[in-house]
Amino acid sequence: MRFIESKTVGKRIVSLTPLIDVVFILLVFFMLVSNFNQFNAIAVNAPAPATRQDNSMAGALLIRLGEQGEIDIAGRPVAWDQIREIVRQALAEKPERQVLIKPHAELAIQQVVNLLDELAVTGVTNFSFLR
Amino acid sequence: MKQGFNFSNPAPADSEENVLPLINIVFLLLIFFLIAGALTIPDLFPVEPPVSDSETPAAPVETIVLIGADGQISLQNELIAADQLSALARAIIKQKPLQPFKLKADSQAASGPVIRAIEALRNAGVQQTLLITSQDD
Repeated sequence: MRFIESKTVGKRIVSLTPLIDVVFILLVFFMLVSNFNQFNAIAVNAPAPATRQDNSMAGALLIRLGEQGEIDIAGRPVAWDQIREIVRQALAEKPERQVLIKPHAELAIQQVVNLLDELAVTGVTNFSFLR
Repeated sequence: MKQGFNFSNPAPADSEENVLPLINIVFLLLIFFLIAGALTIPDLFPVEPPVSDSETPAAPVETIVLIGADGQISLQNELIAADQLSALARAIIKQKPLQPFKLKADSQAASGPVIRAIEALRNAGVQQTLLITSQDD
């Protein structure tokens, strides 16, 4: 170590301190500006137009979400933990059957996403929203 | 003053030698943040996306529609009225027909305006709308 030290001392013309200052500023900048949030995504199909009554909507499974998050599937009130089973049964004979989701307008979107998660578990891919 | 800091190993005259390891670490941190941290434009208003089990990573999409908890809507970080969304999205689609849209809605936003926004995007000819969610942790 002495060897290196004695060799470099006096040789350095540029002081290190401004360099450290700048590097620190850059470091703080990148720490503040960089974003480590990893977001995921759910592809949403376009909502079925409320006026159109074509074949794609006929025979679709309608899931309604009430204002308090209560749920009914094809007109039958259902508990949240029964959704998977009932949807699975409903789609058993016709897996490509479309699922229409009609949330109450005031319901928080979190509840709708919860429902989408439940549907994803049962393998529903063909869903769209109604309003 | 000096005696207080004079320990068994007195600082060499050239104390800059001692900062070299510090600079090394700082450089490493700098490079880490340069590479690992994605630079993103901050959102116009705070939006906390709904929690979901979905594990499909959100592809980097430039066009972002934000919907705040109180229902305010922004497109490309500019505040717009809900009924403007369709026309503005159509203008974007005219230039880039296959452009997917990210929809980042607050978890507490009412689903009515969110679904109306999805509908507006569909009417504008948007091929793919991605609802942004966050991972539960």
